[in-house]
Amino acid sequence: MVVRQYNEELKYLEKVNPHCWKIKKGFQPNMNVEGVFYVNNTLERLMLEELKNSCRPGMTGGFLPGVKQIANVAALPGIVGRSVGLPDIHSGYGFAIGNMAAFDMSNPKSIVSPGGVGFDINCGVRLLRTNLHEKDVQPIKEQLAQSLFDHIPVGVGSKGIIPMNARDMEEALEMGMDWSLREGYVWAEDKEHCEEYGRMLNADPSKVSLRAKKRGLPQLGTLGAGNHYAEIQVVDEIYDKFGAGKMGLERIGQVCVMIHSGSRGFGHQVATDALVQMEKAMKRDQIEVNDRQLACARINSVEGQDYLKAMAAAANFAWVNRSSMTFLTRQAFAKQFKMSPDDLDMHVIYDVSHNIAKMEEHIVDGKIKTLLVHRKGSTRAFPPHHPLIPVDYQLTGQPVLIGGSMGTCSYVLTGTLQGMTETFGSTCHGAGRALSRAKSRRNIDYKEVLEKLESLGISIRVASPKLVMEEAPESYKNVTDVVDTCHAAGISKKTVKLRPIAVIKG
Amino acid sequence: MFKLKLKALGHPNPENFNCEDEKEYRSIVLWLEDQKIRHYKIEEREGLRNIDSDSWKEAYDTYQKDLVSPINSGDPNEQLNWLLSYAVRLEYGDNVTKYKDVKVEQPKQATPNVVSSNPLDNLDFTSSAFIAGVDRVCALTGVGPHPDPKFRLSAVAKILKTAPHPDHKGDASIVQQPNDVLKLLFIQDLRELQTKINEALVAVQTVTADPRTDTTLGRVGR
Amino acid sequence: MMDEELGGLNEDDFVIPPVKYEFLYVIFLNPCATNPFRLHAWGDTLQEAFEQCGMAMFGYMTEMDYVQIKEVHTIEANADDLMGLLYHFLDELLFLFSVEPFLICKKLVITEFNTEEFRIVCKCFGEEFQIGKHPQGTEVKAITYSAMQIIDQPKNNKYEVFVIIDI
Repeated sequence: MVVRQYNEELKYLEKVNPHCWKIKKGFQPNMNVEGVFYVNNTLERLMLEELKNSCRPGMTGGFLPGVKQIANVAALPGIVGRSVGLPDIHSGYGFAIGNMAAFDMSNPKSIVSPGGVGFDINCGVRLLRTNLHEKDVQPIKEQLAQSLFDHIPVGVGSKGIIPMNARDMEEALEMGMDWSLREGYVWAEDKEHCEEYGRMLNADPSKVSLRAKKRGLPQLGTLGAGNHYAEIQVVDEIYDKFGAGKMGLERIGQVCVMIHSGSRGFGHQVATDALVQMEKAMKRDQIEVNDRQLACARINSVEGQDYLKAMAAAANFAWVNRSSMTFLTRQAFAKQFKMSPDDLDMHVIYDVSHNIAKMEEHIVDGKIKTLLVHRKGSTRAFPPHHPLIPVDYQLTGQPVLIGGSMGTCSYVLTGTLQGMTETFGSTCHGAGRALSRAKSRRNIDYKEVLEKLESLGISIRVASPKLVMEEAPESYKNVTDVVDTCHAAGISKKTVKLRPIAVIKG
Repeated sequence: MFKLKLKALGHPNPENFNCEDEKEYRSIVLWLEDQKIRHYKIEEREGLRNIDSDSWKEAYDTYQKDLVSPINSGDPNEQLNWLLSYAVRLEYGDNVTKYKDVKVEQPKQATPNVVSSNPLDNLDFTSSAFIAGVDRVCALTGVGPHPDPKFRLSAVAKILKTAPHPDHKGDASIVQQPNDVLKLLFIQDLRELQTKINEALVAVQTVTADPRTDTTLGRVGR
Repeated sequence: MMDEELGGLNEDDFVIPPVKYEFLYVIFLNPCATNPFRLHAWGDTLQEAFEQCGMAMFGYMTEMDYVQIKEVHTIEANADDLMGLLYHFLDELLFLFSVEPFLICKKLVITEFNTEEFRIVCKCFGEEFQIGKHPQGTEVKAITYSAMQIIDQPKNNKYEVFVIIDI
């Protein structure tokens, strides 16, 4: 890493407009393209403070500031356009979380990097709507929260309650949501409203290690621990009536369910296995990168192809996982209200992926190119009339689901044409972590956080209450700041704001 | 048609006038000139008086040109409508003192004053600001003229509701409009296709689906 | 790699070693990302520091007071260097927890600690993790090499290890 004074570093950064900064070549060595990041005033201050802190002598925590990570990604072979940092960006393994980068498939030197996808492959958000109003739910909110908690396995060591054997698992890895559909856990319309229709066709379970499969089997159909959640939410504000109407969100107070989960230990093992392989491939193919954590392989190499196939299987795992929880959520609601999920209009509005690499066609310098688009902590946000989005959203653009942190609001955005040209159809994914400060786990009182949620009228069911404190809303980059920045920068459009009334988590 | 205006002008038989009948149409035009408009001297009205002649049409065209009617090339009914309105204006002009004190009888309000939360209810629809605003929106959306701004506004609303794109700019060009139509037709086709796909999937599900849960597999909740 | 030894418990196996570890700091959680968490463990020998580090990881998953020693399993880890050895040692322990026998360990005893061929054999004492009996702590998703530190030539005979785990 280049070490310079803070004011020297600033010379490489340029504020293009109130919401967008450019990172010029030279900020880090060997940059092939420029970097860019999106901020508002608050986020800008956080971003620069992080850089400033890293310039102090003796700062070696092992974590590079987000700006540096964006620039290191810009130095990877085969990258096109720009290395994009979204407003919720914060430092992660190799790639920052909230970084998107696209690589030209026709360039034989282009790479794929597991660090650019993230460890929780296809971590994502699914939103279900209902025809219930807040006032229908309020009297039995506690029972409903308990019922959800009873149905969805959460927390460390929890196991799925949908019976699965090794053969089911192989099929699920290959078929993704088609497996759930075949077995009757989801509706045909659910598949229609899911990114990639809930199945990556290039998945190949034979490229997944036995170790990953063993870890994955007991976890299929579980929410996860610590950081994942299911929330009962109500529509708090509608910014775009037309867009919201197309999603079936017609009125303030309408009840929705948001499920935020991923591929659990399975995806993690796939990523870890790939990193080991790629370290070898890098030596063999003499791939030079700025940061050892940016382990990668050429897309066309055996390692690159194997990773993409295993990653696709992990993505399918995550979709089956969210589908199983959709099923369990519908069961819980049906029992509480003694109505069928159909009569409750419990349709999937959409299902987005946050950590994934996909082959997509984009226009680069006026020409159509096939790119491998890495989105880590970033959501695809395709504009109206894009052929890959469901027919119901052809006029509005793809719904983008932004989950807040515990107790804060969530948002639904839609994709825009500007986002398509500026960020390869990508936008933020949620709240980001604020400054990483050293803080002892034992010193924070979790009871305080729980009480605060209660005073906000939010029911909470949590497997490990002592973890709650670590996720207190204060420790995040505010989701509203993040969403407002994306809206103001034009890379996606605010449509609906949702407010939680019950939280279920690990 | 034209019942109200004919009645206002004191036509002897406003109820039964049929504007589609060529002969009645011509008679009404002549009646208007003879009784109300009186633009020509009596001897100059010969062309209009020959109701059965083939040259009547020619005379009528000349007549309209002489009156500087703005719609001398439009639909015959529109032309007549303008003539009637013109006659009404003349009638009013001749008798200002008689008409100016006429009050429209207010229909009795059935409900007492309801305080409305709809901001539109508190708008002054007759204010010049409102009319100017509606004019501007109409120009953008291509809505034609109508004396009642409320009427025009509801036309605008109708257009905006059915517009193919939420942020439709209204600058519907010769290229944009058919483009939008094709997109909508395409989406409709796609929707039908997707519905058929879903139906097929559901049909297969009736054979394959067997969702099971086994709560003994994991301890769920506490 | 794993080899179950049933009924092989004797009285000494129930003696619990003193706690020589701490959780250094938390970097806040994000739902979509792994979140690094730092373990610090020490001991009079490097072997003890390794054992303590393993126990620290389990101590983060649940509360040790609720765990009983009911069974023992043996794991084996191999690597090319010392850091790799610590990584694979912890990874094997994590695997033991993640799949059958879902073992949560209260005590670890390294029976072979070879720092020349980089090989560890370790006896793991504990029981199957049961929701309801064991409070749910954090799920450890993976071990990382990032900022890993092994102090194996200490000045005051305090061997130390620092590991960042992903939660």
